[in-house]
Amino acid sequence: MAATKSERLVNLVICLLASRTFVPKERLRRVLEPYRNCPTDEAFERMFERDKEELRELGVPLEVGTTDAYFDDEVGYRIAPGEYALPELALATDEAQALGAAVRFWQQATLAQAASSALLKLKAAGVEVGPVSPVGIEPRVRAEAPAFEPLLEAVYERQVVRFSYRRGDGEVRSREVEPWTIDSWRGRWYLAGYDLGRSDERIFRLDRIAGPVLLTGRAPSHPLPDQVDVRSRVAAFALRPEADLGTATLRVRSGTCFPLRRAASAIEPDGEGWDVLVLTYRDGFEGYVAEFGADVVVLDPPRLRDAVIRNLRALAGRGAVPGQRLGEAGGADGVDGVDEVDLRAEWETAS
Amino acid sequence: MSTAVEQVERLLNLVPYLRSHPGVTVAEVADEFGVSQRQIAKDLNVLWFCGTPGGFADDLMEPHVGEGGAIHLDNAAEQITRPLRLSTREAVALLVALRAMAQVPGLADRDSLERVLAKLEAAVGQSAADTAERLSVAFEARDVVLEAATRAQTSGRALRLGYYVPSRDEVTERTVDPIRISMLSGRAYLDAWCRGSRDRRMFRLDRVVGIEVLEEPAAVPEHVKNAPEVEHSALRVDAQDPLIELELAPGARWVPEYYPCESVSELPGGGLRVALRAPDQDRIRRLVLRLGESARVLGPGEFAAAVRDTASAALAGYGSQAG
Repeated sequence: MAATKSERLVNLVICLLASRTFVPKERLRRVLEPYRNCPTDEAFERMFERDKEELRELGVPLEVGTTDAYFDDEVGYRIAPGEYALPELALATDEAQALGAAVRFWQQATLAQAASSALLKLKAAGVEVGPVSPVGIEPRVRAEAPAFEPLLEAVYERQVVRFSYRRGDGEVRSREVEPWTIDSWRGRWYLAGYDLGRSDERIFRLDRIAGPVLLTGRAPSHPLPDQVDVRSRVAAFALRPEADLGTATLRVRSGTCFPLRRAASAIEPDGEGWDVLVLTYRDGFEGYVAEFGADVVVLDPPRLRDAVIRNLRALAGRGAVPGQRLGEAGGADGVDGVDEVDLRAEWETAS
Repeated sequence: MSTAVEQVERLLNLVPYLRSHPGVTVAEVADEFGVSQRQIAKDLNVLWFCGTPGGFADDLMEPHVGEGGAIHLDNAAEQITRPLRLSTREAVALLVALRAMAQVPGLADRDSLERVLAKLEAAVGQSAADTAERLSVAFEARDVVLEAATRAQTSGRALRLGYYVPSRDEVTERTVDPIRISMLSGRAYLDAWCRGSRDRRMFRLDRVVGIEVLEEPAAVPEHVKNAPEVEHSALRVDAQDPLIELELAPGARWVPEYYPCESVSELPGGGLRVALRAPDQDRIRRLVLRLGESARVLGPGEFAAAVRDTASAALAGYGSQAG
């Protein structure tokens, strides 16, 4: 029965914590009634092995050592009280409130659950965590990519993972990676690690991992680099600015195209109801401009103008115009990213 | 975890909890531990058989339940009167959250976050603190806007906002009463009562182009103040909205990563066929214009016509070259 087993495990914990020295297995069998009642040695061994496993699963720091300084063949067990117990933690009221807010931070199931079980331990230790103040900023984080959960597990368990990854250009390939860090930038998750197939560091977007992430059970064999360095490379990758392609001149209708106006270095009136803007543009700008429909006309450069016309013609159903597309680039694999025009740039490029 | 192991985990927590909360009721404990009152009663029954080994009755714990369900734990085994230390996972969840929150610009109580972070790091040990280094969340928000919004919200004052609405391509001026500021998926939002539209709205702070904290106090209507948190409007999709179907070239494969699609299927040659809904079709029309020749509208017919018309009108601006 569950109750009997729980009782046995709790008593085992108390017994091992109570002893300063390693307790020999035989003594445990004599002291704890359920072990004493085992009909055979095998039955006891099985039960005891299982119990040890389960306590370790709970995070109980069970130590194994020899019980006798002269004969190292007798094995015993103990739990060091200093290793077992949560250290004293005295929190001021504002600190306890901050902690309460941290518990509400995660919207991802595993982390949310871990945070609330941590909170319960702190409360059991007598830390009073007051209600979260209703005012103030409330940051919340989700991790919706299905890859998040197994990757987090791989980081905890220090295991090599295998998954198939779709690059920005559509290429899908199987990767074997030693995970280093999982970071969220601008609401998107990235994995940095050592790619065993490419024998080099790689950064992956979690939302581009296709299919399941498999934990291989193998431990990483390459050294874990300094996290600060890794993090700064992930940040550079996640926040990399697209290169300026040059200066563009646009004709825009008065009172429209607000973000373009904000980005302009010069604005001149140009006849009734129109202005001319000058701004620097980046890859993907032809798409961005097209969003403003008939309120904008690209005057210069011709490359940009042609790209806009080609897109509009396609959408207007007038067929394609031959020629190279603007910003068309091959499948560069630098840090795994031929990248799309970031929609977030919708505002940021313009401000 | 097996039921027994879960119960052991709870019991190792329950003993210190009952010691630090003498007289707490069965109902309160059940609520705190997230289990039924019946389960707590069962847990207490197990404790009657636990204690320092020796086999004598007075070595065992005595959890008495008195009037009104108040629990008093006598003879608690002193070895387990402190809870088990935080597991790596528990420590990581708290440390990463605290570190991320401490970086949020404009956060009023950063100082308390940093103090609790330092105490917690010391309490969880090196190995857990190291693992927590491997997970991080960075927020990004414009300092000035977030700072002003926070100031208005904490001091209970109204705000004047210049807010850009991309679907209408205009900056709207409005007076709002802040309710809360939330950060979701890396973005900051202001949840506020909009006086002009007499409705609760979610404003993306990165679209705020002008902000001013007013002298007058915020006046959030009572019924709104007590209403549950609203869903972020950007993420709210109604099944009533028409379903728009698009065919995407390989270069536009990123679309489903940003727009919640109801269905996505692969096309030969690396393209995708997607179906999506949005409260305002205008948002999707703008998306299609952006995609240009990388997208083709499959339906519905009116939407395809709207896209064609916009593109033709825009093309007219390019004169004969484009015709």
